[in-house]
Amino acid sequence: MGIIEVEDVSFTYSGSKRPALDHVDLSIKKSEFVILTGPSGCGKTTLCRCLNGLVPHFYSGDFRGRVLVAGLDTREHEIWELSQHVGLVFQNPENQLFCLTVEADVAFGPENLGLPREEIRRRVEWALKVTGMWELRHRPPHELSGGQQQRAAIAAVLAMKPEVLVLDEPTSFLDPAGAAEILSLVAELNKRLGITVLLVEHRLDMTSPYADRVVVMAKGRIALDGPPEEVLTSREARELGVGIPKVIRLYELLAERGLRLPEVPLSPGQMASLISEVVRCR
Amino acid sequence: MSSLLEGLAFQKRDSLLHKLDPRVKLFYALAVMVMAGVHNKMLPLLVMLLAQAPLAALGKIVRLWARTLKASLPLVLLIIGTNLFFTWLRGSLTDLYIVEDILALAVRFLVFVASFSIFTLTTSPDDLSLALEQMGVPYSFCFMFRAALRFTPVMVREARTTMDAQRARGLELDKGGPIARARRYIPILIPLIVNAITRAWSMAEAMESRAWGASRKRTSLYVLRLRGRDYLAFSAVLFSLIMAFYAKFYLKFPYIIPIIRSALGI
Ligand SMILES: Nc1ncnc2c1ncn2[C@@H]1O[C@H](COP(=O)(O)OP(=O)(O)OP(=O)(O)O)[C@@H](O)[C@H]1O
Ligand SMILES: [Mg+2]
Repeated sequence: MGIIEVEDVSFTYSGSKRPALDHVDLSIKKSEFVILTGPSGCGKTTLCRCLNGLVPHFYSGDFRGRVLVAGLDTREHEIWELSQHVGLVFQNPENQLFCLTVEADVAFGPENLGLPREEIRRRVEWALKVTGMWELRHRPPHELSGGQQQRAAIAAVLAMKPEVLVLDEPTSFLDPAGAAEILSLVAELNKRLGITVLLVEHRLDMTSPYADRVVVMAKGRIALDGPPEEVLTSREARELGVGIPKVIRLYELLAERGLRLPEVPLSPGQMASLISEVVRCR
Repeated sequence: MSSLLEGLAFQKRDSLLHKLDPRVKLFYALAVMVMAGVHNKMLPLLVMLLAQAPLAALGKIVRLWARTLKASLPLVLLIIGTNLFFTWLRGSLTDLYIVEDILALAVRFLVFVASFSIFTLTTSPDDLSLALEQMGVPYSFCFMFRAALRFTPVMVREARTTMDAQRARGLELDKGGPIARARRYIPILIPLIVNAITRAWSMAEAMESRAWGASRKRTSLYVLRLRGRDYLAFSAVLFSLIMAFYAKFYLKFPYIIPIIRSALGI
């Protein structure tokens, strides 16, 4: 069984007529890196909210089906319990940092859990170091760059020691440099610490090389789900307006002209080595 | 008014006052308030005001402290003005001793401002909320206080941006009578309020996701511990407080107007 099991989940926000999620099934295995993408309003954020219990505990509405997180049914466990398994990082870093220093913010979650002081200290130090925020720990969040703020927000969530990190468009408020900074941090957390990642992103150019799977949603349903090479070359993905990475477009254009590469490349570096391989063979 | 608020905002410095336990400093601010509250004569109140200048120097905040006092002058004048007006209505404005008592009221207000500004200028909001927490104030209240301080600069920045944006669309803010002017602020207030509500929602969401309210016995990473210097400072404040009460009940303070007069020879 996966660490996250979404089983036939439908959800309609109270006061809303259309369901935001419509019979969604999704299973994520431990240490997987999954990208979730899809047009605006298709229900990505709502799905993220289901994973740590914000739906149905914080957002009320009509909830059907079942979500299991590390074996816990989200309807039967409270957000604070689930948040020790699934850490949620939001779009706007500013609204997730409410203390006057980075360190105090990272301590906020473990403090709420009422952990022993020594354990809090250990976790805070670990989270700050793993995100590269140790030197900046005494700084007030509003004096930091967007990328640094988002790293602080990730540290704050990591201090809860979750197995799964869910990031809802964490780079959309950042400049390209800040975005790259965050994405490589997330990739490193996944690779080095084996943290399971669900990343909601539109910028697939930057992220698809890291991904084991790409999931595309449309109108509250899962439209596509598979390895990036498969999903991103499919006709449906293009029809749904998924931002196909440039290297994949290039791969397709080369194929149309008769130059078929042995693999679907996901990064410029990979593409360069594939092309030089083919050219050398001729 | 804004510079009065600025003068109350914490300044990071390396000074003895900054290192003092926030509880001791809170005690100091409250004690001065009580001392100034029980006295109503010019002489002791003036002494209390002047005695705080060396403290401001000790905290390396003299400039800001003086600016805060200056910024409170309009309020001081308002206090003096209204009191003089009502005394004049009663027809007793000719009595110089009454005038001195009225001026003493204004000095009392300055003493309040002076001590609270020393307190807030040298105490970080984090320290203050920690102090309140350890004194048994519910955490949610302390958090609210801290978050308000954290988001004030953000909201101010947002207000400026909104004003600039609406100005760029041709909104003229400083034209016409007061009612017309107030109406023009609506396109600024509405987006600000909507933003504040959205922000509150996403903050609540983020707090919930980090186990807000999980346990009744929340641990705090930081602990305040009283040191030798804190006990020393506390004793000094307590001593002054006792002296102030003693002076109130056993000493009679002369008016200073006759002193000034005889000194000037009029
Ligand atoms: N708090 C809410 N109350 C009511 N309806 C909501 C709420 N949040 C989202 N919705 C609705 O649910 C649907 C899915 O929204 P959701 O935010 O999950 O989409 P999304 O894929 O994250 O979009 P985006 O890419 O714009 O972030 C939309 O129709 C939206 O209007
Ligand atoms: Mg969204």
